[in-house]
Amino acid sequence: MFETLKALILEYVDVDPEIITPDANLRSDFSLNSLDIINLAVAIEDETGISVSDRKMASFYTLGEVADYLESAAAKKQA
Amino acid sequence: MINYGNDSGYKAPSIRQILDASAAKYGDRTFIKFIEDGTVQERSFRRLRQDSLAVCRFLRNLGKEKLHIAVAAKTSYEYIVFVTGILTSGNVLVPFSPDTSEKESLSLFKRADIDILFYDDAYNCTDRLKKQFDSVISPMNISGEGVLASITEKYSDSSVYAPLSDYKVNIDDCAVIIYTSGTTGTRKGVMLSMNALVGNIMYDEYVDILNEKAVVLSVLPMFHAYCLSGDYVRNLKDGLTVCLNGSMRDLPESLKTFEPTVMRVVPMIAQTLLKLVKMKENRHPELTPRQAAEAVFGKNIKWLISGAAYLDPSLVREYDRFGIFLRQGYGMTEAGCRISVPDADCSLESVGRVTNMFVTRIQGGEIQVKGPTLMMGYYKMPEETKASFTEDGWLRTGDIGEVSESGELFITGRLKNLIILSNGENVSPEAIEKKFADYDIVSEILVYSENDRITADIYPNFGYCSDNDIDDPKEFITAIIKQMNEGAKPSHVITQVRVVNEPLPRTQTGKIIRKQAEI
Repeated sequence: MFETLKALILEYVDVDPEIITPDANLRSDFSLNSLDIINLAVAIEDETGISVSDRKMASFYTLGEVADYLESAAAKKQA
Repeated sequence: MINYGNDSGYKAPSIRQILDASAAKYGDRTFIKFIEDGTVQERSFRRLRQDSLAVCRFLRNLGKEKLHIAVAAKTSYEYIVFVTGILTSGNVLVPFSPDTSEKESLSLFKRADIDILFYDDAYNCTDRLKKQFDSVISPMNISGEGVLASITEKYSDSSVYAPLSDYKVNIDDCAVIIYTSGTTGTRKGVMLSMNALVGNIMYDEYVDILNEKAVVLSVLPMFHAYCLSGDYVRNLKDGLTVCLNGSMRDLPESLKTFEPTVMRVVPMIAQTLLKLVKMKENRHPELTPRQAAEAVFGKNIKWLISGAAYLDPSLVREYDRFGIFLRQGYGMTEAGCRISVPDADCSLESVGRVTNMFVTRIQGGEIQVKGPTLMMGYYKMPEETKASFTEDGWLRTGDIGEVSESGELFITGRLKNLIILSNGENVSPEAIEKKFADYDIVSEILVYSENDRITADIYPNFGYCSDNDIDDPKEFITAIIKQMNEGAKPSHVITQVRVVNEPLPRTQTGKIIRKQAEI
């Protein structure tokens, strides 16, 4: 899941792939504003089929938190 | 072109007159489009008039006048109908964001003397809030067609109530109270007459794109004067089709569905949409820049009109590459809203040309304006009202700037942010901050005075640093400032720099919070 997110971030913002780590902060490391974060949620849904609400998405600080949430949502979906 | 700036006798049409004229002229043509349950719904100019007048009759039938009616809802067809019904019924519209908290609502409702509340599903209308309203009618949820359908059925133009909508409003009475965002302290209720609300959009347009063939996508909230008068009243008058975007999440879908020609935006929306276009370019290198833009905006997009915050000229240049004119206007609710509007000939640094509803002057560096669409004052705040006008009746914008011979307006800073050094020199922090716009390493900057020294807090673009092997951003930024200081006026020399690791604190509306000057 993290690799999917990494690919999305790379397409959306011009950053060094090396800084895209689970600890990377969505706002300070990738300079994402509140609308960017909503767009990221839309892109995640397109790519993975997992829906993340705007409010939930806004509560994440790091990329790792998003990946953990998506993995747990995917597991629930499969169960 | 007639200039109405000095015409104290100028009279704009009322919303009712515009509603009648557009229904007669455009009839069954589509005025409003929106997506509901995945399908596009359309409402004509005639239908809007019919529904709005039913709401007008419903309100007139209450038997009271000058009621203060709050609407806390997101933009929808029902929202527009209720707003129009209020404005044609001789009552006072008080629009609020549906995100307003219970605590803030209680405070604002009391301060604005609200009598009636209309809200939608986006607003958390708690029991405590509902209990505030039992004197006239209970708060009504206007989401969906239910409430509107029952009103239009009972108060139709063939009902016994029909004559109630013949009421003529006095266009000099207060029509709307719009609360400012409160970045400078207590939120103030700007009172606008019908003459100000409508007159503000009666200027002669410089842009030929805003004609009957244009399709507007409305993305900004209509509880702000900019969108209420621009996306709604202006387009109702001129017969344009307005498509409503449900939420920011729906924006990409709305663009694909409606393929607008023009949008009113704020810089953050323009920045975000640009990232989506660049994403298309990355994924599909075979596309031309215009094709990539059309993949996001639809094939008809021509104009983005920006307002509310500073627009970086580099963003304008990037949009030029995609064949989209992005330009900015300028205004404030206290002036009825827009003061200047852009055209394709304006320079990238200007905020457009002053409309022919205003005359301007510069006093002590401050832009001051006069015209028939200025506010009546702040509701129940006589001291603040007095302070916002000069003795001879000019509105003080609080902005520093100049007007060119061709009427283009240039803003160089905010008067309240002006740094006054102990030697008496005035320094605009924004003028210094703008010098950093072309340096990619600077993500955010705030200039202020500390102990009589020009100080800059800088949040670096760490992504840029890692891309360019810059291990020590502070050293790099210090070198830039040293170079900049060499060519600067003595009063503009930055003598203290703080490179910070966290983004600078911002207000709820995304503006960087300014520090009070310390001398």
